[in-house]
Amino acid sequence: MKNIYIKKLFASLFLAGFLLSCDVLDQPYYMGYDADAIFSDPEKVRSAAIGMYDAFQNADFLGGRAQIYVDIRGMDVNPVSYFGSVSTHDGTLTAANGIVEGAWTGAYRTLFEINLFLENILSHTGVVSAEEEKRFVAEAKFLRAVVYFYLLNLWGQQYAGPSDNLGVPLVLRSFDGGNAFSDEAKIPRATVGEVYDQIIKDLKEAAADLPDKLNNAYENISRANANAVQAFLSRVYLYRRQYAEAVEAADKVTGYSLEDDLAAKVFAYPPPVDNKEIIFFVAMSNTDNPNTNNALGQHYGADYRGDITVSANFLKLFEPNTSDTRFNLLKQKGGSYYCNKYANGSYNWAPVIRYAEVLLNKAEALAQQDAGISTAALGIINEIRDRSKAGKVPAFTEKKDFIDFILAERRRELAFEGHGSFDLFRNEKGIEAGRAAAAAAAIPYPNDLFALPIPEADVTKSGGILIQNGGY
Amino acid sequence: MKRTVLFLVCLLLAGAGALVAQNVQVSGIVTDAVDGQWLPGVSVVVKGAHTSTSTDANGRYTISVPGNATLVFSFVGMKTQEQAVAGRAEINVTLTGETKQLEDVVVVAYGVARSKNAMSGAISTMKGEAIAAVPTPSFDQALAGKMAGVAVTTASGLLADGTSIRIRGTGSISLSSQPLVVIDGMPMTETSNLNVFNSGNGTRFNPMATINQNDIASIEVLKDAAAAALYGSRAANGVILITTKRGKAGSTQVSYSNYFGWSQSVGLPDLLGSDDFMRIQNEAAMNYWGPGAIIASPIDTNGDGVDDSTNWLDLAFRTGFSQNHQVSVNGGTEKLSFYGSADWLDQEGTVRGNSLERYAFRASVDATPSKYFKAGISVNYANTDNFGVLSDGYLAGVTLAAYLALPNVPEKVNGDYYMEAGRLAPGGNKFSYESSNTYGNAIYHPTATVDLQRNRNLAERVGAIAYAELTPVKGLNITSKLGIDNLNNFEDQYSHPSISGLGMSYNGLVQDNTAWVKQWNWQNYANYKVSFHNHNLSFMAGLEYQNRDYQDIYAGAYDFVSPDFRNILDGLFVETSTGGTKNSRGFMSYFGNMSYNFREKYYLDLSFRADGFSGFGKNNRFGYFPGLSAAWRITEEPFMEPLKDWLPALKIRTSWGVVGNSNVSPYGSRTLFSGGQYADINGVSMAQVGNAGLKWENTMKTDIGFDASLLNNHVNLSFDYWRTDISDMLLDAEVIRSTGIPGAKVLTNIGSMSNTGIEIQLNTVNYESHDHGFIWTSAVNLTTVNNKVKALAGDDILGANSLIVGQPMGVWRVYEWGGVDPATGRPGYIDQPTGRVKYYDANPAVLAEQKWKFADGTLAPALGNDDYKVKDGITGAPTWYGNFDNTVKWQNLDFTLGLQFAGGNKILNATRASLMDTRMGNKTSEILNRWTAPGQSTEIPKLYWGQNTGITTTSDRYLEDGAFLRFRDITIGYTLPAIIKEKTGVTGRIFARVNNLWVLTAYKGSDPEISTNRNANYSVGTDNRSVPAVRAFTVGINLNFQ
Repeated sequence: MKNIYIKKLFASLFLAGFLLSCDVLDQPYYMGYDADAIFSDPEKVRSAAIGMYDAFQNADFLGGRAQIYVDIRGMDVNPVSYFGSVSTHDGTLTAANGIVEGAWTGAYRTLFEINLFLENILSHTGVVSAEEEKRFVAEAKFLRAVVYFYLLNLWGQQYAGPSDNLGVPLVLRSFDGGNAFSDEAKIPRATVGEVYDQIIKDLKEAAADLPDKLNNAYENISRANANAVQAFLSRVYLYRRQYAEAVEAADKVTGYSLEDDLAAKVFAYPPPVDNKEIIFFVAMSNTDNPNTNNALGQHYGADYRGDITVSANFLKLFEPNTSDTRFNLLKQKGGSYYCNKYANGSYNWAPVIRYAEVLLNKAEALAQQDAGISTAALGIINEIRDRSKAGKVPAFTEKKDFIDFILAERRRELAFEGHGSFDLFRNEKGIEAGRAAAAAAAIPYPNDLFALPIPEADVTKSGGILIQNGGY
Repeated sequence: MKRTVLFLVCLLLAGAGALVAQNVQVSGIVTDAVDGQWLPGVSVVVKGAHTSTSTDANGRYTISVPGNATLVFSFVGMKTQEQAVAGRAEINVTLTGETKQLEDVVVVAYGVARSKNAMSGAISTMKGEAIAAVPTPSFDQALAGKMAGVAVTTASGLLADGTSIRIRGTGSISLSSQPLVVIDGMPMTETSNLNVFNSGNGTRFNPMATINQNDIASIEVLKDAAAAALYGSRAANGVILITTKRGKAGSTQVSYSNYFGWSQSVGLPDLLGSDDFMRIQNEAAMNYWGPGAIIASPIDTNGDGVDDSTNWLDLAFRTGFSQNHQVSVNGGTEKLSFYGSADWLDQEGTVRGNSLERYAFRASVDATPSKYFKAGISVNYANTDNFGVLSDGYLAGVTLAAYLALPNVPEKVNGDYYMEAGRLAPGGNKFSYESSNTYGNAIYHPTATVDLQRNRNLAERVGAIAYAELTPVKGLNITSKLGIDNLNNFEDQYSHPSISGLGMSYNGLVQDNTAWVKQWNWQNYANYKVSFHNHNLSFMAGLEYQNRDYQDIYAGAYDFVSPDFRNILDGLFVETSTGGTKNSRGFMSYFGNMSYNFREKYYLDLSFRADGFSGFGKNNRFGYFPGLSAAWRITEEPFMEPLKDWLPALKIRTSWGVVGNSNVSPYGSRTLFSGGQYADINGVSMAQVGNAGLKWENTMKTDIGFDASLLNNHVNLSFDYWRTDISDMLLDAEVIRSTGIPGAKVLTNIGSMSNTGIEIQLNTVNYESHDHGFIWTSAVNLTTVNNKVKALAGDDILGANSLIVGQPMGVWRVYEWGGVDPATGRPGYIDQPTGRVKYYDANPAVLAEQKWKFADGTLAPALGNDDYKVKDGITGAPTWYGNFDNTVKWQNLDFTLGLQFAGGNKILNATRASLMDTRMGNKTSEILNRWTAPGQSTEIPKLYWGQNTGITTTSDRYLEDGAFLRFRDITIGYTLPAIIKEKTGVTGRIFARVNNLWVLTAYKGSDPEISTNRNANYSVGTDNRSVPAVRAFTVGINLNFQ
């Protein structure tokens, strides 16, 4: 009968319906990938590794702002009205400050990307070759260590204190919408010592699994290699006053030398990729950069936003009519001096570490280890000064004076690259008088306000788990 | 009375056989057994012959038949009745509903039908005629003021602007609160605006404008969860079911209908003329800068000795004109029926440059080859061409430009628009007096901005539905139904190089966006009905799949060879940009229904749906939605028999159910990576962190009510108390930032709120006289809505419309106006911490820290966060609304007066505030009352040029009572007399109508229902220079040829 056929037709329609079901409920995402799809495909894993650097390039943190905060909280620039109380240490900064909250958020946003990548690559082993896998894991650990270094030194009570002072929350995993509100997401502040231990652990593990040099010249200065890890380790050990280890790490940095022309080679946009001095900078391009409101070159550039002016404290590091070519990296405009290292507005790369710093790290560590005046250190400093036609190091008889000279040399060489306040505080130095009028007075060390406040939003949300720094 | 008629009919029937057959003229009236209303269009056929007629608008018919003939009266949805003529000259008939007893049957979902008696849920129904020939671009606007519990507001007087439909209040904070619209069983795309440029806030295009309202046969609105549970996760905001016209067995008909409408904007502001404008500007300038500061002077550009002056409102607004023509064919036999229509709508809006034209076609055919099988196909196509105009929110928008435009300059000089730097040239006016004060309004040229530029929408909608219905055994129906709905819109925007903004920056810019929405839906369900021993049972079970793809492609071209070229055509431009987005979503659902009644006295109805949605988190892929309802027809009980005369029908009903709101982002639950460029290296990085638990908002609806018929069915009363509890509301919840989650927020099911209210519907027959062909009926309905926010994601969200736990959503939070100090002319506000009035001195000589003082001259803190006052319980949304309609029919004439009312809300009249802005630009005449001399009592402070504090500051000074009574609809119609039908076979009606003749309100703006924030959930009740509402005069005719 006809009806039987129709019934069969209906039955098969129902059946087909069931088969269709999985299709309609699993819809593709067209404008990218699901997280699950990434870590099962080697090409996408490689892309996601790049994604960590994209996150690292965070406009509120290591894309330039973190470096700026380190310097505006030091004494080589004048207090910056654009950044308000972040740059003054006068007690007006509050835990509700939006800039501080933005930086904190940016730092942990970067860590989120790195932790997520790490978790996924470790749980999807064998998608890429073992060698590549090791490299990506090492890159993740390096980037994580760098972020923690800046986080810790901006927010941690690292100054003049024992290692069990409060550092920052050590977040070594990622969260999602399902657990972001749970108690496990309320992570207390680890101690300064614990954070440093994690940084050193990450760096040591990373160093073992990275090549010394990346084949792609562009990547060799914009992605991590083993030299970048050792270079950064030399900085970390120096901060920890583990001088022997700092020297050891610095010595492991090989294949680099000082470029003749800082402006043309190191701070050019784009920097020449055969650069011998850049070890690891955050790359930028004209289509991918922190833009008008966040880029280094915008905030510093005399011809751009020009928010930041150089202080008298810095200018007096140079003799009048100095031959030091590093003075030419300043630009005078309308009665003020501006940093001219980032002369291309939004496009300049953001510095993290270059060979000159490794030499300075080593020199300082050697000088500290030596009971007298370290001749090796003297040689290194002369090497640094020769490159900039700054003349030889004057003769010193006191170790302390020599070390102060090295620290001044660090300021001259690494000015506005994110070292200013860190180099002061780690050496238990305060801010000297000489910044522009409103904050002209000296701010002696120690001072609770040298650590940034933990953002109020997080202190509140943690329900007492996050302890605020003193003075806020 | 009816019983008597029936008795007589029976008596006459009994004697019929005895009469001799001869041709007699028979006439009579056919009425509806439920409400006594006359039934027009009832087919009257002589059994076994070809003679037929149908009833006119008053239910009358006349037919010449042999005396022994039998007449067959048939009408869709009614039980066909046969009457032997038996020599009678008058045969009056009452038809009853097809399903055994009274009234129409409403299909609520998937073949589940309910007669009015059996309805245990809250459902409003209306016929398509009620909205046909209302001159709106889309049917949803025409629903305004028609049904209890359904509030429909149109954002502005622009054609094809969006419509906000709220059924029993607003059901969400973050997601859409629009109801689900289902046409012929197919859920429609939820999109309420197809425009993407300016983030959809510039011009707006409502896709409902692609549906021809003349094709609508009936509309049902599911307001509670009883039946709506069958629509599961999409039914939180109610369901609007639309049934389109289909062919009817019987006579073949061709219909033609048209209307012509003229419209005008109502409530345009009363702006200053040239002299007053200059006087006010100069006074403000001299108060600020001192005597001699003249900033506004006349100009005479054409040298005719008369100062130039322009009434910009006359140029920007005009009398709109609409016309609509529709031809439809309809007919068929018991085995095959068909319907087809072609419709042309052409509308010129009340705003210069605003128009809409639509061609719409629909055809359907239903075939019933055997009693076992039925199938049908319908297709519809609409092509819409809309020219939009930028309005509120944009300085270049027509309202902002025309309201601000300087009245003492010309529109054109030597045929060219009077412009400077891409805007209206200042003429004799200065935007600044001293170089330190260079700020001012940017005033666009109101006509050049419209005339030279283009905002066009070319939309097409193609839909088709095919179904097959199998009846293998009696009582069992198995249906499979497949529908597609494809909607695409070509949005075409041109910005002219001579107009400041995009056009000037890009030397001419064309932006085109093509958006496609492609949907298919497949439903398979079975219905089974069985009765035994007075137990009546019906069952339904089914499954449904739906898939919707969205894609848009954007192309921009700029730097054109010449302003003559205004399209993206090869070789005519230099630079381009492109982009696009794409997403898709799918539903898979299982559903079922069981209904039971005993002796049609006790009713019980259970519904259930399991909805799988691709957008839900993988831990909550399926949502489960139950609904149950019960009813008791008390008047069927023997003990009610003594009351039968005055209380013929009383039903108590109650329902409970859970439905959901699944208007979540299609990928909101997923952890996604997208392009993550690292300088010159391409990578992927995290775009969004997922919430695997993401799910629908949960909406629990409870309803208890009754339906009563009183006084011989002359009074019908329905009452409902309803309550909606919304939980798991999706809100952006802030995470602890050290988690590093992108955006530091996760969309989370966390909030809750409730809506409660009552609904009353009262229909009465006030007077009727069949003898004189006179009937007067009234319909009144009233709805109340009370909203309360119960829980939010964290802190209250504060703004002018705030979200505060314990308050209704969008509660007003503004400064409190303290009046103008008569001694000094300074504006005052309440200093909330002290409760004292503090006054603001706008005099520039006063130091910033001394601007605010109490009346005694002591310094006061500046107006700030501490001074906001929450207006307890008051929002911009009405808490009560309703309609009161009266219809009178007398012979061939009919007259309807439809009133609409609402209130309980306050409206922020930001139009009024902004038109008192003290900078360069025109103002309303209200500003003439400004303070000028000590002792003067006024509400307008002393004016200081450029000092808006105390003038435009948002405060309760601009919160106005939103209550209104609107003369929504006055219609007079005339049904063509029977004589015409007899001679030509043509029936028809001509009508004239006024929509929105008059609004009685204390609100000072253009219209209390205008809303600048359009379809917003809680930022409602702000009128900030939206295009005013429209009053329309319409005349038209409907003709049926058969």
